[in-house]
Order: sequence, then C-alpha cells, then structure tokens
Amino acid sequence: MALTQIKSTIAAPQAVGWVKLSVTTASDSTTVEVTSGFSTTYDDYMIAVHHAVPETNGTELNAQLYIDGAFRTDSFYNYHVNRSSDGSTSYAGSADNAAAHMRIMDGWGSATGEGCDGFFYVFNANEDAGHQKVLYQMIFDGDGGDQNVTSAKGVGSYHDDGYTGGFDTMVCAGVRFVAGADKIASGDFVLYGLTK
Amino acid sequence: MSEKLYSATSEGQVEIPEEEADAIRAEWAKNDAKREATKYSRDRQSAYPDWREQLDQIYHEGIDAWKVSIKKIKDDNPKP
Repeated sequence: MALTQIKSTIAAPQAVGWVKLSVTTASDSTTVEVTSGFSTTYDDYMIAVHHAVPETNGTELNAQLYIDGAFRTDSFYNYHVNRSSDGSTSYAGSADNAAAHMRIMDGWGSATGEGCDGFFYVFNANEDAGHQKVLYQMIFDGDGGDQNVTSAKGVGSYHDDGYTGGFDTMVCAGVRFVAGADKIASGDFVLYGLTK
Repeated sequence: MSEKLYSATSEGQVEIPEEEADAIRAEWAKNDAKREATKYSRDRQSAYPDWREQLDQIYHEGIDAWKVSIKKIKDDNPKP
C-alpha cells in the first residue's frame, strides 16, 4: 500500500535557557525597580545592567530585595564586594553584615563616556526560607585619558531575621537599584529567567 | 518643597510617595557624610605602593626609609 498522507501535530516550541522577561530603563530615576517577570515560573534570575550612569560622580550603586510585599530597607543585608582595576594589583573592598542594602560597586563615575555594565544573579528566588542569596559582577569603563577599566565583584544576602520576626514569606519578587547619592541618570536593567 | 523623586519600572516612571522619598534623601545624606569621613582612607589606599614594592623598599633601603614613605602618604591625606 502506498503512503499517501501523514498527519501529525508539531508541539509548540518551548523556550529554553534564559528567557527575557522585562526591561526597565532609568531616566533620572531615584530608584530602578525590577519586579515585572518574577514568578514561580523561574527560580534563578539574572538582571543584565547595560551602561548605567549616575547623576553624581563617584557614588555607589546599591541593591535591595523585594520580600514579603516590600523592598526591604532594614539592616538584614550582608555583602562583600571587592574592586580591582587595570592600573594596580591592589584590591579595595567594602563589606557589612548589618546593612540596609547590598553594595554593588563604588567609585561609580558619571563623566562623558563612563558607564557600568554587568549582571546581578538571584539564586532560587522562590525558596521560602533561610536567606536570599545573590552574586554580582560589574565592569566600570572609565573615561579618563587612560581609559581604565574597573571590576567590582560581590556576593550578598538578605537573612531570615525578618522571617523569624514575622514575615509571611522569604520569596524574592524583585530587585531595586539605588544610587548612594542622587539619581540614576540612565541605563537599562534587563531581567531574564532561567528555564527550569 | 522638595523635588519629587521617581522610580523607573518596566511600565515607566512612577512617583515615589513623599514619606519614602524622605527616607531616601536621609539615606543619601548619611552616605554623603560617611563618604566624606572615609575619603582620606580611600585616598591613602590608592597612594600606597603595591605591597611588593614596599617589601622591596624595605629590603634595599631599610625600615626607616619605608616608614618615611608611608608617613608622607598619611600626612598628605590626613584623617579628619
């Protein structure tokens, strides 16, 4: 018998790997709040920071997490960030174990052509207990005559004193970026979720 | 009246409620004061030679010469 017809259904393609969820653009913004896209669909999230520039030269870039209905501003953050640049083999850093934010980088410049790029990674955001842990790395491209480049690498967490103190959940549902002084002049903050 | 502050969100700019904006301004002022108070330390950090160079100086010129070099950096960047 000759084969005359084949009927089949092709399954809809499934997204794999990193899935782009939202883009938040700073424009003289006091804070950049990345919340759209956080859900139970993904556990790991990455925020790619594209050419973020502060209004005030030499300030810090800090981050806070959205937990139990609010961006947490209490002193339950721990972080350690170290900074290195192409001009020296010395390392500088800052650390805190009772901070109101996580320091992402300092010496964040605003001269023409300067900007900060990097990633901010949230591990297992839907874990409803213990700590929320993050990892980040930024590259700062200086604009001086030497066109120097600086790296800021860090880890941070929000610990569960708040949870034991009465939180309903420890799930992380967003990240807020704040400059240490003044506003974030520009930059794109792109949220990706990693397919389970 | 203070300038209004805004948050960037994926839906656009959203005005920050005044109470929260006041808290942010207070945090900025605190950061400014801390940054100013610790400026000498960062300036000293960038001025100190790499530790290998410091050891080399101690080997070749002795500890007293090294102390003179380090003291100059401290004096040039005094603690407030």
